[in-house]
Amino acid sequence: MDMDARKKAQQRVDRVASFRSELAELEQEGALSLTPEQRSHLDAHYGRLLSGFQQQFGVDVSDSGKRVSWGMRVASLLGGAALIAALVLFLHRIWGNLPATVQVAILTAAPLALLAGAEAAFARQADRYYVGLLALAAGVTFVMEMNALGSVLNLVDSPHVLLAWGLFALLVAYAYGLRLLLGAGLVLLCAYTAALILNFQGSHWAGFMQRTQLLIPGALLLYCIPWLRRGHGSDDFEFVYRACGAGTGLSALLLLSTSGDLCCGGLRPGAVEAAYQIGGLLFSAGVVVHGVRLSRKGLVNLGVAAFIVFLFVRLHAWWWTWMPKYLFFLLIGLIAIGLLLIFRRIRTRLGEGAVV
Amino acid sequence: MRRALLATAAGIVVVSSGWGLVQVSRNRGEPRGGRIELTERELGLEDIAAESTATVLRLNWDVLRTGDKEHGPAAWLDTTKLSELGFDCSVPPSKPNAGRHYRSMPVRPVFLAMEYEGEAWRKASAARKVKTRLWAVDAALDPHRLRQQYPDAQHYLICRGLVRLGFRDHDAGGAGPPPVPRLEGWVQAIRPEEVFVPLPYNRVLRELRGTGSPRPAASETSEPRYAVRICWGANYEPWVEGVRLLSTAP
Repeated sequence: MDMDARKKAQQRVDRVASFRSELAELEQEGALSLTPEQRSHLDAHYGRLLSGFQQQFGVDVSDSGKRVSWGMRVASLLGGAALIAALVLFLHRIWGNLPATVQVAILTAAPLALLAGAEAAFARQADRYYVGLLALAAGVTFVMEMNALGSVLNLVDSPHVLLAWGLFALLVAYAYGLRLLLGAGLVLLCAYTAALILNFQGSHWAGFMQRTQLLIPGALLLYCIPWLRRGHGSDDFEFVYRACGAGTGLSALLLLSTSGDLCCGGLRPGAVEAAYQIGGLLFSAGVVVHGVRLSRKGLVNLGVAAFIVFLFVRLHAWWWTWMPKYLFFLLIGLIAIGLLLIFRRIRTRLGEGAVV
Repeated sequence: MRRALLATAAGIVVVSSGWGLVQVSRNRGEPRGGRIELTERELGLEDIAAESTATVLRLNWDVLRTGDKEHGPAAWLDTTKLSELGFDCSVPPSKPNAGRHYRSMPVRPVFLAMEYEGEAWRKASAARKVKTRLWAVDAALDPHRLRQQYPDAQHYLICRGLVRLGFRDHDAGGAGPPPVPRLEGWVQAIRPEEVFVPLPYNRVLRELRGTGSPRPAASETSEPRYAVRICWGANYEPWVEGVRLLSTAP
């Protein structure tokens, strides 16, 4: 079953429900009335369409059906978490009584079994949510597996586990069209590049969070991948690439702007921090503008949140030490109101554009 | 296409586990890091979930510190040694930007020479009460050089560890700047710091976990209850070869 086809079917069902509701309003207001023949044609058409979708994709065709589906999802999430916890605790109970070969076999089989479960759910045309849940559980189990394997075999930690985890997440994400796993995989691969550079420099790979400038090339590459693919990827995945790139790059800049100089030895410490903060402000503003252009709410929200954090950090550096605290927070509040007015104006302008 | 992606993902899981086993096989081929018997003082039972039957030992070690203090930088990790270990110590500590230069340095992986019941332990125990007889006495980037320098594999282990550079421009109490800012070297950790005990050796130790007797961490003076024969192999990773109860065990 094609995941996109199921998603599109659900979107069509939602549009049909909205259309029917709007049609009823229009008829009540006397703006439009269908003849009995047109209505029966429409009802028959929608009846066939919806039952076809329900049979083929298992979509929810009513609000109550949707609510029950959400209940089922929450129950399955809690149930799945409880079952995994039960399994982990049971393994803890018997772990010491198992020979090393059996331990390794169990650790290897666990993520494979969950992956097989995801594939079985997919083949049975189960809701994408359940497939995603099983795939995510497989990813989490793989992370746990590698940690437990390292512990059981007394292995020294290695940066290459990040590569294994990242590739696994990426492959499963592409197999089932899962955005969360794709995001996790991209961030892991970005971290891997930073860890690998640090490793080649002779430092301990796990210290890459102390050298966050090493994350920036990977983050930039992630943000640019949708351009390099020239629109050949899915819209959802392109958004994940950009959100992960922007999120990782902005977090790296934020850490650099507070922890000080890691690159520009010739400058004063304060000047370097200010440069990173101003760079972060400009980059986050750029993300907002790009998000508005692409009509991607998530990208806009990410850029706005980062812009506010960078602004706060910069103002804190300028004013906190000499200004009375009440005045500092008053100014922060006034700046927030000013930003609100600017965003309202942008929203009004975008709304006018949409109406025209 | 989907099947191919999933098969590759499954392959990654299998290859990762296989790689771990290959590394273990390579490591255990030759006890290059040393073969030694340590006691409960050096290998304490790790606290894990009460229901768990897994047994993990934590390596307790120490290092001679400047001024023979209980806490502080390693006495033998001076600027020359830190430079040997790859730290860029070219900026004079008295320069205005020295703090920024040195504080941003990440920890570095090194090989450590660990001395058991040797001169370092005797010297430290003469000055204060010490918990362990396993002491870090040297570090290098090349493990072979360390082994040549410390050829007695019964008393000197070579294992992996992490070393950190510290920059001190004020007194510990923060009372004011010392006359000269200085560099310090710290042995941050042994890698791995925990050793998993497999069957059949863990059965002996599991009984001790159940007795509720105080561990060395809680009671420094108590006699060790067990001894563990442990090796560091070709990858300088440890494994347990045997466990025996000592006469002081309940």
